[in-house]
Amino acid sequence: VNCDDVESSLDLYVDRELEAAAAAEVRAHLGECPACRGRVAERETLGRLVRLAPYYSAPDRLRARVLAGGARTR
Amino acid sequence: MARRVFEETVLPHLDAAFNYARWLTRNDADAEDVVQDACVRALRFFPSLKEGDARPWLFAIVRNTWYSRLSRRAAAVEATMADDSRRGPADRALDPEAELLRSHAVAAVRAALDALPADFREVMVLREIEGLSYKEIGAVVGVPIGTVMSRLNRGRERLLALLREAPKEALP
Repeated sequence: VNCDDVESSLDLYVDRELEAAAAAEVRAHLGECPACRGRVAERETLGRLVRLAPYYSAPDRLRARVLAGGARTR
Repeated sequence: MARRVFEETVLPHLDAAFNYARWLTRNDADAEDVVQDACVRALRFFPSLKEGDARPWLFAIVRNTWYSRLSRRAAAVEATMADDSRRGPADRALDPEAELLRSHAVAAVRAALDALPADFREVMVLREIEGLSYKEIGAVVGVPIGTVMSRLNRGRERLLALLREAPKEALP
C-alpha cells in the first residue's frame, strides 16, 4: 500500500466502508506516513465541522399536521 | 391499525426527515411542506416498506417529493435558493460572545454546505449528519455506490476548499 492507494480510498477509510483487511493496510501505512495521516485528519475534522452545522428538528406544528394526517393547509 | 403502525414506524424519523428536507430545500417553509407531503405519500406507500430501517426509506420519499415539486417550478425556485445561500451566516450575529468562535465555525460550515451543489450537499448530509452507509445513500438518492463515492469525494474536496477560504480564526 502506497500513498496513491491510500489517497484513492481516503473516503472509504474515513467512512469505515473498507473491508477489515484493507483498513488494516491503510492503518499500517498511516503509521509511517505523516502526509497521509494529515489527509485523514483533515477529512475527520471536516466531518466534525459538518456535524456542528445546525440540526433542523421538525417544528411542532409539522408534527401536529402529520399526526392529524390531513393534507397541507398552507 | 395500519395508521398506528405507520406512526410508530415513521414518526420517530420525523426530525431526520425534516433535517434532510431542510438541507435539500434550504428554507423552512419548503421543508415543512415537503415533509408533510412525503408523510402522506409514505402512508400510502407504507405496504412497500419491507423489513429494515424506515429512515432511508423515508429519506427517499422526501427526496422524490422535493424533486417532483422542484421540477414543477424550477426557474423561480432556483432564483430564491441562490438568494438564501448568500444569507446564511448573517443570522448568527446575535449569538452570545462566549459562543462566538464556535458560532463562527458553525456559520462557516453552514454557508459552505449551503453553497455546495445539491448533489454533493445531500450526500454530505446523509453521510456526515445522518450516518448512512454508502449503500443506504445509494438507495435514497437512486444512484450506484460508485456515484455516492465520487460525490462524497468531490463534495469533501469542495467543502475543504471553501473552508480554507474562510478566515483562519473562524475554524476551531
